[in-house]
Amino acid sequence: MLAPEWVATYQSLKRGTYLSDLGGDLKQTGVNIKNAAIADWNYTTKTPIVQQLKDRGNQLVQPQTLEQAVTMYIGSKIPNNIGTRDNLLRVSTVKVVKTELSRLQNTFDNLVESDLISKYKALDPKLKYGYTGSFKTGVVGNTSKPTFGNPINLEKFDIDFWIESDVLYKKFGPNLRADPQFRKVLAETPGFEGLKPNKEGFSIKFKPNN
Amino acid sequence: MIYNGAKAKIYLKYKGSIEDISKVISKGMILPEFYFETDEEYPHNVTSNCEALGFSIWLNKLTDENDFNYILEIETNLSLEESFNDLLCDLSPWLAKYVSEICGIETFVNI
Repeated sequence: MLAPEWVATYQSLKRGTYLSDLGGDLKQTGVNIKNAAIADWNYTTKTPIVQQLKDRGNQLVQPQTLEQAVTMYIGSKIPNNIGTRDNLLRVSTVKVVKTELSRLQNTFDNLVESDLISKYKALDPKLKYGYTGSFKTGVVGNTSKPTFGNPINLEKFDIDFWIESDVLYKKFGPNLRADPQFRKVLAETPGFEGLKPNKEGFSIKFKPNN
Repeated sequence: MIYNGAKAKIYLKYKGSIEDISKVISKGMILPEFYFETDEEYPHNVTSNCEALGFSIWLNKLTDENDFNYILEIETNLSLEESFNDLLCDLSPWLAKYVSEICGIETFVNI
């Protein structure tokens, strides 16, 4: 599970007050987030899946889980101080999405290594690569999209992959590229059922070196 | 000469939006609808894409100062090495002729 810092960070980012909220707590918050991220990563990658399922089962039957559910339901029915009603389920949703997203990112990273990047490295061994967008951050950060600020929708999402290489940028230009072979691999991988079809789901953008 | 892929790049003169010209091209070339993508990075430029017959198809708007203000590019998928090594068959003259005659859009090829 994710620490509350993640939720607070997400809420601050969505409000647009992230920097001011950090204030004097910046350093401590950064440390907390780092520790939470490391702990989450270690748990997800090192704990046997059977144990993770047992942990999840134990968590579900704990009294505080029921309390949280009731609180969220009641909270969603009570007007807040600005006259609207909070969707308190969002907090829980963010936690679940973040956990599932971490798992998908881990799978994706492995698939990139095994099925994608080697053919591009054959053309430029010095290339750098990564991905951006909501699949990276968990939140839609593109201000030109109507879904800006929303958590990633894992039932309909895309992966914006980039390769940084002067050599490949000169050859292939800035157009978003398809990779049907890797797209096929993703389509056959459990968890990626929500990936949009065709190049809408997975595309590669070549960028010049910084 | 046997090619393992093909490409084309043509310039178009069109007074109208990228959405409008994409519909004209889709209809004329019997393509699926283009979809529009905004770049994840600032300034979030809009590009339009579609795929058909194993080709990637890109339609982009150039600046208004250009006489031919749109660019249409196509390239076969699964042609990474051929593209990198400039071994794709260039269909630009054919594409320019097709778009001009069937879609009724004035075209230009830079050979």
